[in-house]
Amino acid sequence: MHDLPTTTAPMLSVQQVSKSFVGLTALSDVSFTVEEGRVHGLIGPNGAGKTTLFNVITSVFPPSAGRIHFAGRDITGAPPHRVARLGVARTFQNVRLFGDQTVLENTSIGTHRLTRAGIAAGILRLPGAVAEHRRAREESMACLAFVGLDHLAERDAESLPFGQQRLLEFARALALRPKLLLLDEPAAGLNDGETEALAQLIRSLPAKGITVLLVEHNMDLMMSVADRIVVLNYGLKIAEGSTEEITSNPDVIRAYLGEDAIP
Amino acid sequence: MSGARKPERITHVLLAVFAAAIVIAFAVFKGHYLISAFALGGIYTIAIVGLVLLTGLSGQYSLGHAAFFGVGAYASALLVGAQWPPLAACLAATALSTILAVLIGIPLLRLRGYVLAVATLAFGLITFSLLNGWRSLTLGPSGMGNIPPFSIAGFTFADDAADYWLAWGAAFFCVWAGANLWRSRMGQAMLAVKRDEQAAAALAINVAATKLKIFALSAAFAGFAGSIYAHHVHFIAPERFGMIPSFELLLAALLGGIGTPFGAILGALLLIALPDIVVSLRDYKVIAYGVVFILVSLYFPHGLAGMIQDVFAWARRARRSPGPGTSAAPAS
Repeated sequence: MHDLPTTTAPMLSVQQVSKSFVGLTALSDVSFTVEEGRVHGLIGPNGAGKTTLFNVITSVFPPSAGRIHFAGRDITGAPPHRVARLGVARTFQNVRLFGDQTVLENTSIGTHRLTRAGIAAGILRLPGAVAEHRRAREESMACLAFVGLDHLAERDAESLPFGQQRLLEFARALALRPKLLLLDEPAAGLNDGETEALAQLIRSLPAKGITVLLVEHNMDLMMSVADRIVVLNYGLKIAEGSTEEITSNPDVIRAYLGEDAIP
Repeated sequence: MSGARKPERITHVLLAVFAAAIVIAFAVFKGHYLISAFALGGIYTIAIVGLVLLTGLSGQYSLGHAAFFGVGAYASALLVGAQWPPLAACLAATALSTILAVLIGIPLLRLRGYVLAVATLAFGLITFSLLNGWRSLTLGPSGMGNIPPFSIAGFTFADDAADYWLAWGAAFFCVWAGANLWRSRMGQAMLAVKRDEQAAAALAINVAATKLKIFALSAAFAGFAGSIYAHHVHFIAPERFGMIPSFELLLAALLGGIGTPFGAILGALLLIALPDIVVSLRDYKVIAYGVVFILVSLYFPHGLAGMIQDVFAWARRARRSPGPGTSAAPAS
């Protein structure tokens, strides 16, 4: 690992990344960069490799080939908790909350990155740990308020409807105060009103210093928030560009709608 | 799941009740021969708190905890025999137990599943063999006697009544410590690791380090308890730290309840009653343990403490008449 001046390096740089599982190529030579302060979209049909790419970026597993740089730092193959500690947060496509804990407790676990109290401080309730715990609660409540769940703080996470569970996972990721946030289909299961509210939340993230990489099947949402879009199909990057460029790209239309759709 | 709400206030009430129970039990049984057995209960509580934290917080199982208990007991006995003050010997014995856990844990805890259970089982067997076979150090199966009472700065815990206060004072501290840990940053990180390692790692939690820390802490509790045990009973032998005692400790933790450190107290009280319960079972007691283990795991995963919590939660809901509907519970 070596540090480069972060002012010049992109927030995320995916370089010639490939990933194969036994008998299956999930990603093939994918390259793109995400500039700081952008909302970057990632689209493609089911099975295109979007979630696999998220898992490679967050180091759930290493790529078979290629490198990942975060803010100029090579994070390829780093332990996943270290990638998160550097400031990469994510949500999961299939929502992974701690169901029998409260909404507030779930969010508070997200503050682990920015807190320090060790076992001894926790056991003995040292003043520093107690004060830190209180700050973490306040921070968590602020994150819940941001997504509009603060009035449900004491409810069990599993008692929330699915759409609110997605928002809770979003709040938990924000509690890390990430520099880069990976959102995996955040609008799945949300109704139209909730989706519009989510779009506003996502648009407000860059002003808070959070760069976003977004996977989403809801194209209205994607087109309304993304600055730039990468398109994957069968593990290959088939297009990249602004929303206008993507919607008029024949390769993209073919991938989504089939051969007949091209006039 | 019901009764999971544990605000600070409830913990304070439970600690007050616990303290009162310690004082009342002493007043009732003062001078009675049972006071010695109760002191033993306090000592077991310390060890079982460690197991409750290990299993309840991080989802790992130790099948060799009596060995850590034994390491604490033997280390204390040997060091005191070498003219160490009991308090210094106790701290060294606790440290030794902790270090052994770290050495066992480091190579294992990156792996998933029940590797720790298997490794602690092996550690228990090896420790038992060493205690039996290393006669020049441990005097072998005949055991070590004449262990002096515990003392701190010139005050000697000379009789069972003094040991009662020593054991339950330490037990109270350990339950308090466990309750604090449960709500703390690291306790919450351990719960996250137990429930979903991948999600925990995505939240910047070092899964392997977290597991190692709680295993080391549980061994420290066991070693500390073993040290006080040696001073209380004045005589130790390998058979008290073998496989069966390890199963009994784990069973006591599960029966008492691994959802809260207070479960350890109930588990320890069961453990001191156990000899009277199983005396008629003779050699079948291991089978009985196995059956109870399975039944508890299947039907009472939160033990006695969990059942009490459920009763209170049910009473609270009943008092509130038809509560707010939770009909919107999602299918998962």
